[in-house]
Amino acid sequence: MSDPQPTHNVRVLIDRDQTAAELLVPGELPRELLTAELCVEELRRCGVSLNPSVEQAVADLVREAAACDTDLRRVVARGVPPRHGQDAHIQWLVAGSEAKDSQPQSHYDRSAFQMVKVGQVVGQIVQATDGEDGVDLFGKILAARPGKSLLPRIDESISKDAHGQLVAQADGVLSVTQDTVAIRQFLEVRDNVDFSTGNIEFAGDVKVGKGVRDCFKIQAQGSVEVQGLIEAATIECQGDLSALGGFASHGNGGQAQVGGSLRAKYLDNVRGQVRHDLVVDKEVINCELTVNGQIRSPHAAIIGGRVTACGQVEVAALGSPGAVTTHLVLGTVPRLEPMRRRLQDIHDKLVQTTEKLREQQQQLISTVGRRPTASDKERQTELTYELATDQAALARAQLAMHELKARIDNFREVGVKVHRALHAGVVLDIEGISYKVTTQTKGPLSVIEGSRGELLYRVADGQARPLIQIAHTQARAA
Amino acid sequence: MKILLVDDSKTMRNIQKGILGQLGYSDVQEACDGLDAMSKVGAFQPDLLLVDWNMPNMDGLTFVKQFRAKGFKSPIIMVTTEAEKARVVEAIKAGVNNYVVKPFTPDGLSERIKETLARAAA
Repeated sequence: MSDPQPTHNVRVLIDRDQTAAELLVPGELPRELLTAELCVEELRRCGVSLNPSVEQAVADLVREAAACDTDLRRVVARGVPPRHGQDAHIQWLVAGSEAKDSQPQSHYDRSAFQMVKVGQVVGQIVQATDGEDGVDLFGKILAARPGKSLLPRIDESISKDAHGQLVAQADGVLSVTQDTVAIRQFLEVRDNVDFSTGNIEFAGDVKVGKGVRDCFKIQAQGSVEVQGLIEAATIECQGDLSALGGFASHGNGGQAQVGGSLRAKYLDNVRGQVRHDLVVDKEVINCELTVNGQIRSPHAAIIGGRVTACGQVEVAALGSPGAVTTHLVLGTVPRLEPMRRRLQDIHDKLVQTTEKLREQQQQLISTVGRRPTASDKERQTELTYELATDQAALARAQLAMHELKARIDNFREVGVKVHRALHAGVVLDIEGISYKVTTQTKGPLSVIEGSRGELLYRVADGQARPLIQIAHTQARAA
Repeated sequence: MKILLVDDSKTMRNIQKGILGQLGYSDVQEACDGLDAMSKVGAFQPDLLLVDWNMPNMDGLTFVKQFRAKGFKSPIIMVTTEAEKARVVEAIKAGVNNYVVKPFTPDGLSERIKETLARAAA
């Protein structure tokens, strides 16, 4: 709005977009000359549309000016600015980290990614609007600008219903770019998994560009690849785990539950299970690992800890020159072990109760002698029945154990290849017997199972010899 | 096949039920004495009865006599500690079809049940 020039008359000031008009009453204008009619006439002369609200504002101004002898400037007329249309957009309905903020939550559990499940309504399309035209002080229409109807492309992983609701067609992470909206089953974390990302729980594959920090957790229904170091974190995946920068928890409880194979630069103080193979480039140090497949690590050493292997083992070295106690459990099928232990427990309990019932039966017969009472006879019937029931259950348990053993024998493989050295302090456990190596032996050597289940070793292409020549044995507590 | 077990000992009834279960019979009802059994036979219409001899309220022999007197033809196995020949004869005369003496083995009772049902079907 331009500044008024000094004058003794009432002046009308119009703003630049012509949607507001002010009246300026100079202090020098004698108030007895100031009337509403004078002001209205001045407005009319300038082309301002008049209406009752303008007339009311003018009357208020005249009343106010009568009580003051200085310049007075008041807005007395307004136009209506146009309301421009809203562009089409998607209103997201995914409960992201902001939505969870109302409840107390661990910082580890805050996720930087919007994970969605199949069938979940992820968003609502809001259509573009035309807006509403405005009008200026002189009654001229001010045209509204309509909203743009352009939306990003919606990928086939998201369906759109008749009401514009967007429904996830797959589990995954919601990916929104300028051009496309999609649910991706591959999650890429470019940096570390840390407080900036929170724990990761994902329905597909996960790739981490850097590392995984202490105490964070990745759960993936696919594979996980971590290019940096995994610290004392937990990784659970149904596919493979690739720890390209190593996995070192330094005794703080790094855990791995791997549904596929585990490939790592090195493992240090890691506990967990690997459903398929273990492939390590350098060392496996102080780990508690159960490997259902093979250990294929021809350049790696297993030092300390306890590693259980169902299949063949190939390593550069077992143990260390410092004779660190290193357990390697052979000849088991880890995934069938819980079942075998349960069956063994059932079997042992049945043997105990059967024995007890037999004793009671014998005791009853010897107590009652040749003239048992009716109640003795009923008790005898009861014991006979219980004994028969237990014996039948015992027979079933023995059959199940026999079948399970056949399955275990079918899967188990005992074979260890050591390329460089088998060190003293290594304990090879097999079928309840521990062979503790007392004499360091240079490789290449292999350890195999003899025909009676005993362990043998063979240096290079030499003859197989009993392992007890370089180890002493002891029965292992169950 | 509907089977009625008549015995005052729940343990005995459970044993008999277990053996019948192994033979594939699951439609089983229980009565704790002869009187209780008489009240159930009309509605249940058993195809086989296993009856103890010594029970309170109404003993097994009285029950067998009243059961037959009402015209029921279903086979009855007397399962009892009474092993004297005279008692066995008395029971057979009253209408018992087979006889199992306690203590019995599960196999022994199974055999008698199969034998009795085979005879009844012949």
